[in-house]
Amino acid sequence: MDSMSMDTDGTHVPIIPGLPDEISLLCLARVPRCHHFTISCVSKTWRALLGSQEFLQTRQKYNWQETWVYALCKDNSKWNTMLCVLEPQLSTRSWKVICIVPTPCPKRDGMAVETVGERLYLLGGCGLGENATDDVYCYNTSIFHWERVAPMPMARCYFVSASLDNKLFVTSGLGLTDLSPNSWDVYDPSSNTWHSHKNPMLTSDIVKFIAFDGKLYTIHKTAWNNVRFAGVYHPSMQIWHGTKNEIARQALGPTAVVCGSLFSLDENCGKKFMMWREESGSWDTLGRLSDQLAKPPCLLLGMDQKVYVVGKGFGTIVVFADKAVNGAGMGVLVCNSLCPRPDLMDLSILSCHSVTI
Amino acid sequence: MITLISSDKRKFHVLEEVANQSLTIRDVIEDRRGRRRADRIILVTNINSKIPEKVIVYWLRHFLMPEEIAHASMSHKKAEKLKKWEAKFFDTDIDTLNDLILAADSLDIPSLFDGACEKVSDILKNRSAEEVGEISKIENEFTHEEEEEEIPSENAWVWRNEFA
Repeated sequence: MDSMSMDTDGTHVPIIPGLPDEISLLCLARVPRCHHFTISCVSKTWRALLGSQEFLQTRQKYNWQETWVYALCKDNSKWNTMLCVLEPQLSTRSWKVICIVPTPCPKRDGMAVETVGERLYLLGGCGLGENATDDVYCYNTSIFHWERVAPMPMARCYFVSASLDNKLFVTSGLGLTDLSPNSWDVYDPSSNTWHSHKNPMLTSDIVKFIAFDGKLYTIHKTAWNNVRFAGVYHPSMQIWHGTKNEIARQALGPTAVVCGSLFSLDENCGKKFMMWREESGSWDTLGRLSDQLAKPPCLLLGMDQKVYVVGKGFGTIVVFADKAVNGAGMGVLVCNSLCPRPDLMDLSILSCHSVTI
Repeated sequence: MITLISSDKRKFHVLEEVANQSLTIRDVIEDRRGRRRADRIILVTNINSKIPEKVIVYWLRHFLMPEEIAHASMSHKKAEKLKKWEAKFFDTDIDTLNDLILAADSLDIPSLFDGACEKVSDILKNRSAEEVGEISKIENEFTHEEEEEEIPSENAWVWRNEFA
């Protein structure tokens, strides 16, 4: 805290005059998140405090944390992407729109979105009639600040990404040069550096990453006969090997990891909600969900021991993940639903991530 | 009966049971039990007389309605009443609140500490950054250029009241 509350000339600037900094921290940390934007504009010291680990840890310690959902949306009428910030309110069965944040690259498609801690990353993509880009933007959700960070070693759009162990993994995609079609790149936010690796797998037909159980599952689909298969990458040992291909069968659709379990939604025929059973190596169909509440295409979002099945206009079905893991029937699994918002019906939801502060 | 002496030498006589709400005082009394009467005098050096007065008022109110009972069996009406009373008690300027927080911290009175911190955080809610800075006597330290660059403009944080 000392380093952060020092002024440029080395004198100590108290957070709140008249109070020791550790007590001021307790006062500020209990301010609800919807007022944090104002707090961040009061002074440099306060902004630094909001962005500090102490602040986040204090909110966690006293259970003052709040979870907001950051959805990257495309406004189809204006061909414009933006970040909708929402909060699920199960008691009133609706989403509360907290704000809408413009992105620094509004006219771009094929971007990947990932989160590491309180930071949200927008990677790559391409503009209309433009080539793919290597741009990476980072939105620090605790101080409401966009910044450009180290670009990817290679321009990509419509590519595969994942966040695991505080690192970002990207591979595949369009817009690659023919120099290294097999590359995969790893970003370390703590040092703001990218490392290019040779693809640890022998194939370049990867279509999806799933960060699950401390490992990176890779889902592949061969171009010539559409055969699906799967592999597992162990980041700590940097080795990749094949795994039961069964997991690839349902993993192409939306997936989410909650309570240590992997869930998937099959929208090919109705809405089949499934869970991966590691022990039996198979997908277990938990039940079918209504198409009325969450209109396709849907996304899955895992948070608070629940899976949120988010459809058009943010119409949502909420499923208890913990009960599913314990083997309860579908009748008791669906705990709630959130109504679609008519004002957001024109948006295509590209991604949904939750950030707890 | 114990005696508290503030930094400006004013004496406050308080029932032991009442002062026991301060964990610091309770420990001191426990330590000195069975000793001479002079030992029942406790110096509260770091606070001026205005604050012990307020602290004692707070103690008395809470002594009449101890925390544990408050949670278990207090009727809804009584709880409302206490809430109203506390809202009025904490409705004061930021300097007094700061002093109350410091006193609650050094005397170890968790409920008073939490209540006063909560009030400080309440003051920061629903106000503009300038108002907050004024109330808490904070200079914003942003230079003009930084203000243009660093403070996210309205565009970066579009409040959509119509969505709320």
